[in-house]
Amino acid sequence: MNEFLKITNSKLAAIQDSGRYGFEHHGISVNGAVDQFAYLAGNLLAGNEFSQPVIEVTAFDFSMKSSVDIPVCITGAPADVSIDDKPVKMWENAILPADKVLSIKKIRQGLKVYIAVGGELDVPSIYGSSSLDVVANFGKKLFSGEIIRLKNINSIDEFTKNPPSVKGIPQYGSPWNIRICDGPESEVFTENFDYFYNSSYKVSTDSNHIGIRLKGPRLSGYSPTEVLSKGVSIGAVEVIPTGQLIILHRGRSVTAGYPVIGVVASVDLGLIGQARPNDDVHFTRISVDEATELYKNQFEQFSYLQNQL
Amino acid sequence: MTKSISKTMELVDCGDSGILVEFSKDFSKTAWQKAHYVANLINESNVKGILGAIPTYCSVYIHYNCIQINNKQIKDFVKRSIQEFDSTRCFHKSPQRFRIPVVFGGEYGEDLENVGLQLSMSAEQVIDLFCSKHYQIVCIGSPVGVPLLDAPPFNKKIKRLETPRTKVPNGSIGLGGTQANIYTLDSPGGWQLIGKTPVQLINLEDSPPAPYKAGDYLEFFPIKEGEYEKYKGQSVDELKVETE
Repeated sequence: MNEFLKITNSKLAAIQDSGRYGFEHHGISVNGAVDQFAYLAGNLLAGNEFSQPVIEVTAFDFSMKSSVDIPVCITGAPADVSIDDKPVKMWENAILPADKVLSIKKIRQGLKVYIAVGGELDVPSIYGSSSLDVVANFGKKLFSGEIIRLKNINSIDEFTKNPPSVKGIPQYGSPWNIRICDGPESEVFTENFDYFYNSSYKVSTDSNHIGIRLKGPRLSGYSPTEVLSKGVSIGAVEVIPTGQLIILHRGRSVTAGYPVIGVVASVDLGLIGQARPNDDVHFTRISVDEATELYKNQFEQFSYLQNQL
Repeated sequence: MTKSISKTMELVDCGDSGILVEFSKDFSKTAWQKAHYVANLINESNVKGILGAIPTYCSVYIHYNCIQINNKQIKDFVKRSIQEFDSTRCFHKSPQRFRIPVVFGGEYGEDLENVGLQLSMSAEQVIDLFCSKHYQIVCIGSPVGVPLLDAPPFNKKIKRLETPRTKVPNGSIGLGGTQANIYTLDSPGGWQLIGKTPVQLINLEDSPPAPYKAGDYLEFFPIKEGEYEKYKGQSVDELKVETE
């Protein structure tokens, strides 16, 4: 049918999903929603059976309308959310009535807000994903005036009768305490561990979903400073030759050649991606087993949404 | 036999979502073959929870979802599969060969002179030497289908740029350290650019996007600026050399 969303105000927003998997050995980066917990929670709360593409709004105010009544759920960093000028709670399902304005303002304590709809956004997919890849030029940034077609809208009755719920909503905001596991070259840095884990860093302004650059104490006295290019983790904390740290995020190149002091635990990957420029970050070292447990506790509730992975 | 294989293989956790399997710290043909052997097995087997395997020079990185599979299961799988390692099953039985036309120097390869200075050679000598080798594709890199090639026959490492370019044009031939590559899209990069090919390497309508694979060969031959348009828009597939 002819059902659609109309973007009425957008400065920095895009369609995102779980990411582009299965093509990393062809050089294609994963990308996808930076905060996967918020992304998946939005899908769950909007009543979807599979994780669907969502709208990821970054930093700036955003508004849209729907041509039809539709279930929605807003998740991610705290913001002032309203429908038809009435405040709406985040992390809870809501109905966006036809022709009323959904507005997101004053995004704070983080950068990314997610709008999941109960139903499907009819958006193109390339290499198995609709996510934005700004380097390969895949996916779609959203601008004011844009129309997104809708498909298979979920029943609103069902949705209001049995509202789903989500557990383990993280605490957003600076200072960000990020848990780290050892990585492939952690041995190179054993002498630097105390220094690294006891220091406080700030997020640099030239950070994005590809890499988060940190300002703060530099590491020195380790070797080697470059290694042969190898496949690298999303969340890898690279130490570049100046001793500066870069956390690789979901848009990272699949291979890299700098030594890695540690890897952000999957449970905290979305949080470090949410950190705003000049926010404070410190790190805690945990084991792979602990990280796995933490991730399971928070993400197992979404397993049914991800069965296609 | 099996023992010596496991002795030279290191399986390292990279947090809770990755395992790096390293067959050597330095490049060796056997380590390279093993990395690709394991990666192919994994990428073809569709094990639930394994998100991908990225093979490079002498290691393979395995990306997984720890809710669906654990690191021990993956390590066991790798240890078992490497026992069956067969160097003839890593790459195509008969590798493909492609001949790539390149306009060297000038606006097509802004760093050619600089590379010559680094190697104490004239631009012509750099071109001749660079084109004298048949390069093997070691692995494929980002952003899409970038062929990373084995070492050009220079006697020195090529320094990378101190300040990487924010946009290197599609088709540029780059040198960095002991490696060479071809940029397949306009993308940022810090390698020294010696030339540019008019040939389109990848096609985003194809899956996978590049027709070449690790183990295939690329040769380069110089063309004049005036010939650039003649080759422009040709796909690399059209430049495949039929092997007897």
